[in-house]
This record gives sequence, structure tokens and C-alpha cells, in this order.
Amino acid sequence: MPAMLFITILAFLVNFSLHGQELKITARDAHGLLVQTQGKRILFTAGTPEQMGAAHGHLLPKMVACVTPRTMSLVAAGYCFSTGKWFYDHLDEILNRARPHTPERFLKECQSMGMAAGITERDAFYGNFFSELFHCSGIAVRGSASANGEVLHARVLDYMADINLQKYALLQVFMPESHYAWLSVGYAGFLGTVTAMNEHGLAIGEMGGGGAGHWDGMPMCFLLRDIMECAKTVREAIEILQKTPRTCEYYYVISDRSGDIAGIYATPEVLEILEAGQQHPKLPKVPDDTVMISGGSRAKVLSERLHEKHGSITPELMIEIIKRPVAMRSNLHNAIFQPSTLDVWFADAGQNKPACDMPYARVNLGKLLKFYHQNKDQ
Amino acid sequence: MLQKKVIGLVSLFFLGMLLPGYGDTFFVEETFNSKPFAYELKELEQRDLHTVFAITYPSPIKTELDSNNIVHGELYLPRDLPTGIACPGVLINHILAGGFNLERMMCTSLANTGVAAMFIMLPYYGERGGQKKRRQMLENAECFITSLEQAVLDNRRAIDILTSRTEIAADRIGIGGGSLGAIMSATVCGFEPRVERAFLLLGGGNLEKIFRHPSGETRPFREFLDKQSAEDRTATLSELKRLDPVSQTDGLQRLSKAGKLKMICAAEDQVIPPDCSRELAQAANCDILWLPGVNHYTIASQSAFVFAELVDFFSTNPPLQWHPSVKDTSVDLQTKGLRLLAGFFRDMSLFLTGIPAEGQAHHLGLKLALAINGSNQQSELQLSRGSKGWYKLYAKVPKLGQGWMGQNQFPWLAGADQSLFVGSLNALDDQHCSTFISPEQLMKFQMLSGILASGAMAPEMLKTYATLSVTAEDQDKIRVLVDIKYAKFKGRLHLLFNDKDTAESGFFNSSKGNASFVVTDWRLNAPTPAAFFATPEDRQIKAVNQEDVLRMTAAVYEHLLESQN
Repeated sequence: MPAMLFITILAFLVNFSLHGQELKITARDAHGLLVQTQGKRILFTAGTPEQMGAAHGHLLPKMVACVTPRTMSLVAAGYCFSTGKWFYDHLDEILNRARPHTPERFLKECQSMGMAAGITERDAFYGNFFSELFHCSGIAVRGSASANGEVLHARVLDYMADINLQKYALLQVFMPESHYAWLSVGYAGFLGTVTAMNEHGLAIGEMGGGGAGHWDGMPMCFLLRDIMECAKTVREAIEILQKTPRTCEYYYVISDRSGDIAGIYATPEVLEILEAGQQHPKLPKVPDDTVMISGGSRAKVLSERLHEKHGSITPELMIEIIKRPVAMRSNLHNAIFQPSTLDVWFADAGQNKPACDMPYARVNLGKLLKFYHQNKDQ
Repeated sequence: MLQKKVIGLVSLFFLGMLLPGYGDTFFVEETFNSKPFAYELKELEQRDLHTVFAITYPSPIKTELDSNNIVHGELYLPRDLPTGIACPGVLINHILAGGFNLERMMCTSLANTGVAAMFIMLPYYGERGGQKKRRQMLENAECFITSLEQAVLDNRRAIDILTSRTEIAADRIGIGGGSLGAIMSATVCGFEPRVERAFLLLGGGNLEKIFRHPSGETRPFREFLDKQSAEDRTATLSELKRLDPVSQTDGLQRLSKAGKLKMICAAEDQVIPPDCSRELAQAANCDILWLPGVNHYTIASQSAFVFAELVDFFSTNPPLQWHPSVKDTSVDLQTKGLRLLAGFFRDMSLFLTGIPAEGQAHHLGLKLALAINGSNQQSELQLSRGSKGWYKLYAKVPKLGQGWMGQNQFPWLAGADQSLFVGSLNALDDQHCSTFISPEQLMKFQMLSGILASGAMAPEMLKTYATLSVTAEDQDKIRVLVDIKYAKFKGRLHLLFNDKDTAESGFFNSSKGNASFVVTDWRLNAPTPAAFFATPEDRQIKAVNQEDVLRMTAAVYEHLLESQN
């Protein structure tokens, strides 16, 4: 077979097939690609912070501007109406106090992204330093709890689906120079993460608590990104969490491909670790080989479902487990990670439907990275 | 001579017998080609201010397809025209897609103003096309060339009809249309000296260039030209050139010289290239009224303006001697309901786009209840619009909270804890809330206001997309139910009008959810002092960036608009 034909067929197969789903390149940059698959956008960026930021801004200028300043302005209006305080004063305070604790590489990427997207530096920073309190759920199961004994990690983000942030949803694949590659279920213009998994099969999801006003630390979204780019395991992630100045109050569920899973409670002063199957007075009964974090009646239903399906949980079943009322009506996105294989199932909210009621897309981080490297220079 | 006339009339009688339908037959003796013919009118609908007839007449050209040899159309005649008064008449040509809704809307708007209007179906369109429809036109060069010629002659015969009617002023026959309709109308101007004025919307000249322009709409023409033999292509292009609007300089310049030629074009037209519009304008020696920021389709957002221009163009210079008016005597409920609906649309359109005079303002207060996907939300809105772009809005929206926002000298926001944020820092005179609204959302707003304005001008067109039921309620109230059965959208709108003909509440139901509203305040051009738009008193004022406030108000506006999608 002529070599060119073989290469063409191979390239075709690699380029356009991922789990049998077509990957279609819709835009290119010297350091990035924009791809469509299964009705979802995937943004790849690679290189130095400046190169990644510029690729992000160049590939998605309109969408970035729709998130910040536009959607940010809507949040600002709601904030002013409900609190009587000027939102931008609030953001200035967060920025001034959190910036010294934020790695320079994230700040540079932010500046480059803003410049390339045609928004002001102020708007680029505001969109990435804006922190909120998310009422979410996170679950990780393994061993006796999952169907095949491997880790399955679900993350439910309940956050203001009403402001239509889902219109600007993307799966982001970051390939930073000298750091680990990772993916984030994210949004245009957003360089941090709240839902992520890296190339080593370390996955994380965040849940908000209280503690607003404690801004003297690395913003949570960048802290999670730092973990994705620097840690391979749950324990390495915990070490980063322990040594980094933290803001506010958050909960995390972390898992890795070795089968380690943990729940974390973190404030600027306290870091509490909840191991698999460990009970906690604030939670209903947690099944064996399971970590779960959720609140109120949602936690109760989640516990019941996890008990009922214990030992048979597959990705498909997990998608059912996290449906309402575990997910809230404001359910913005969900993700199910399988760290051992780097598979991810994810869904974003529709215009009037929570994410849990929307179709899921399935991708594989390993194959996405291969796809990028084989297509970046064409 | 008398014998010849009798034979002619007998022939016409038998010709009339050949026309389809069972309507009234009329004879036209004075014709452009000195060949008398008969046409048939069949009443379709008696409307409040005009009557609609189906019209059929024989085409002057006979083609192989029998059905194509009968021209079909609709005639809209104003009702109750006083004796001795003749109204203008307008012939409308249709767009490439057919469908005829745009043309029906144009004719309805004109007839409601007191201008008789008629549209006809071009060769192979509608009933004329048989099974293969308009594709047949492009089957071969001969067929295409014949179709072009036939279209012009069918138009001329339509003008024969308009000039023959006693209620229409023969010296005031206009022509017009959009896109293909504008091209056709411009061409007819070159052949038909009886045309007294022409209205060309999205028109252009140099047909070969238009066909060669890579738009999806003209692809069949490109393919048709490309597959022809060199000889046929030469013949086709030669005929195209002869019938091209840019070749009709004498006829078009005659009209433009008298100020009776109007061209309106979309600055970003992707179907009729702006260069082709300029070529036509140059041939006609007239100016183009360019609509910025819109293309061949998004021009629909400017429909309020376009329809106002259409009606104004055909009803002025000189002004009409007579306008139809709503009778004071009691009318049936259906007519009353349609009038109320038209009034509702007119008022809403005025509220959204009309600029009140100094010292006046429009006021609208609403209590809204929305039920979507099992969630129920209650909202309140109170919006007042004054002159100079000043406004004041109170909104109580779930998740967003409640607060006041407005604009006087500066934009401002009032929130919880007696807070007041005034955008007086870094203020620029030329920045407004709309500066920060995305073009897509602005377009949607303009589309909405265009629909409302069109609904006010031609409420009868609602029946194309919806059925209307009107019922009398207690206390002289009237309930109007609009059951929308448009292919892309289905829903039911109930409006309850009070004894002053003002909408006081409504309910909307669709597969996406339900919404009900109660009108708490509804005043147009109400006397309103400038002080009304002042910031709320006794609040803690904080001066902030003007742009931040404008962006926030724009975001709220966009969110409200998006939530209605």
C-alpha cells in the first residue's frame, strides 16, 4: 500500500474517530485547536502561558467576551441588587488580596487570553478571580462499590444555570509547557477549573462552602489547576492543598488511577481528610469504598442510591444516581471520570434543562492528547 | 366596427368560461397588446377595511404546460370607497421562494391604507407549476427565456386589469416587490409606460452577475447557465441582458426624475450583491436607501420601517383623497377582536420603539408569572420610557433580585440597603446601554418590534399563522384567543381587553411553558415631568464608572430577552 495512502487513512481514523465519535476541527491557532464532537466544543491549548492564553483568545474571542465582561455584568447587577454593594469593589478586593498568591504563569496566560480576545485585562482577571459558593455534590467509588472495582468519580456542579453560562461551555484540554496535561469541564475565558482530570488519571471536583471574605490565598480555581498540572496522585494533591495558602471554605473529592479516593474539607486554616468509607457527622451513612460530599436532603437521596447500587456502579449507573434531586435544578454541568482509562462522560445544562437531564458526551483524555499532537501542525 | 366589438365580447365570454373557478368574470378591452381578455374574481375574504379576491386570467403567452397559462393572484380592494373616488393601485411581484406571505402582507398593509393592491404568481409558481413546480423554468434555455418574457407580459396584463377597474385610478398604478419581486418590477418599468411609481426592496441589476454571485439562492441559475451549450448560453445571456433591470434606463429614469422610484437595500446583502444594487441605481439615476447592519434575511428586523416606507410611498405624493376608517357602528366580535389585536400590537410597537416628546413618557407595568419545566417564577416589571433615551425600570426577577435602574443625565442602579450607584465617573456622552448589547440581541429586539408593527399594519396576516377566537366577557370585556399553529412554533395566547380596549391581562401557553401577566400600568405619551426620572431619594449615592453601569443594565436587558427565547 502506498505510504501516503496508509498515512492518509491512519490520519483520517485518528483525526475523526474517538469512541466512534467524529472530531471535527473548526478553527486553528499556532498553539491551539478548536474541535467539535458530539455537539460539544473542545478547546486545545499548548505551550507557554502566553502562547496558551493567546490561542484561547484567538480561537474564541466572541465567547470569551460573552462570559467576561457580559455574563459577569449580569452577575454584577444581581449582586448589587441583592447586597447593595458595588460588585467591582468586591472583585478588586479579591484580586488585590489573591493575586500575590497566584502563580505568575496563570496571570500571564490570563493577560494573553484577554489581549487576544479583545477584552480588557481587568475583565480577563475579574472573570478568573471571581469566586462563588457552589452547592454541588461529589462522589467517588471503588473496589466493592463499583461494578469492576475501578474508581469512578462523579462531579455535580450546581451553579446558576439561569445565567446561561452553559452557552459558553467547553471541554478544555490544557497542555502547558513543563507541566502535566489535563482537561477541564469549563467555560470560555475561564483558565482555572472546578472539574478536572489530568493525564496521570488524577481527578478532582469542588464543592463550595462558606467563608467568603478570606481572600488571602490562591483562588480555588487556580489552586485546582495547579494540582492538575503538578500532581499525579491523590496524596500529592493533598500535599499541594496543605502547603498552599487557601481561600474561603471548600470541599473536594479527589481520585486517582491507583484506586485512591479522598474527600477534603478545606478552609484557610483547616484541611480535613475523609478517607473511603469513613463516616462523618455531617453526612448520612457513607457506603464502603465510597467518598461522598453533598448537602441536605440531596445527600440523603445520594446515600440511599449509592447503597442501593453498591457493587454494581458503572458510568451509566452513576449518571442515573446523580440525577435530580441529587443534582439541583441549577445543575450547570456534570462529569463522570474513570481515572484508570482517562475516560470522561460529561453533560452541560440546556437552556431550560439541568445538565443531569441532558445527553452526555464521552471523550478520552489520552486519545484527545494524541489527536492534538497528530493534528496540530496540519 | 360594432360587429367586431360584439365578436370580441362573445369571444371574451367563452374565454371567461375557460377560466377555472366559479367567481365573477370581467372583461378588459383596452390592453397593452390590443388583445382583449377576461379575468375572474372570486371573493376569498371580507376584512374590516378591504376585501380579498382570488384572481385568475389567461397569460398572453401559451406554454406546453396548461396550468402555467393561467395567471393566479390575489386582489385586495379597499371597502366602502366613496363614489367618484378612485384609489391608487399597486402590482406586487413576489420573492424567489414563493410562499407569498410577504406579498400578502404588503397587499394587506396597502389595502388597509386605501390603496388597491394585487400580487400575481410568476410563471411556474403556485398553481401554475403543476407537479414539477418552478424547477421547470430551468429545464432548458428556451423554457427559461420564455418564462422571463411571460413574466413581463403577465405583469403587463395585470396592469391592464388594474387600469380597467373603475375604483382604481388608471393614472396612479404602481409596482413593487422584494428581491426577485424588485428585479421583476424594475424590468417591467422598462416595458410598461403606465407604471407611475415603483418600490424596489432589495433590488439589483446585472442579472448574470447576480446569478454568478455564490449564494445558495442563485445556485440553480448558475448550474443552469453552466450546463448549457455555448450557443444556448449566448442566447440566454442575450435575453437576460434585454430583460435586465439595468437595461431599462428610460423607464426607470422617467420615474426617478419624478421622484417616484424608491430603492431600499441591505448593506450586507449576501444574495443581491450591493454592487448590483448600485448598478441598478446608476441605471435608474436614483439614490439607494441603505439599511446598515442587515442582510437579505435579517432585513426582517427592519420590517416596521420597510412597511411604513412602502405604505407611505404609495399613499403620498400626492396624498390619498380618501382613507378607509373603522366604522363606529357595531361590528361582529371577530372584527372587533382583530381590531383590538391590531391596536395592541400598534401600542406595543410604539412603546418599544416610539420616542415620546419632551415632557412625556410611555409607562408599562406588568406582573408576570412563569411556569417552565416545573419551576414557577413571579416577576414584576415597571418600565417608563421618556425622551432623550431617559428611562426608569423597576424589576423584581427571581435569582437576580429586585432593584431600580434608570438613565437621566447618568445611568444609575439602586439596590438593597438603600444603595444607589450612579455612573458619573469616566462618563462619555455617546455611550448608552445599547452600546453594550450584542448585535444578535439587538436584532432580536428589532425583529420583535418589526413583527409588532407588521401585526398592527396587517393584522389579518395573523390568520396565516394562527386562528382567532373572540368571546365577549362580563363588564364589556373581550377575550381574544390567538391559537398559533406555525410550523416552527405552536402556542396559545389569551388576551383580555377591558371596556377601554386596553389589554389588562393575558396568558400564554406553549410546549415550553406557561406565562401569565397582569397589566398594572399602561400609558402612552403620558405627561411626565423630567423629575420623574430622577434617582430615588434618601439613598447612599456612590459614583461609579459609567461603562460598568451601562454594561450591567445591558446584561439585565439581554437576560430578560434571552429568557423569552
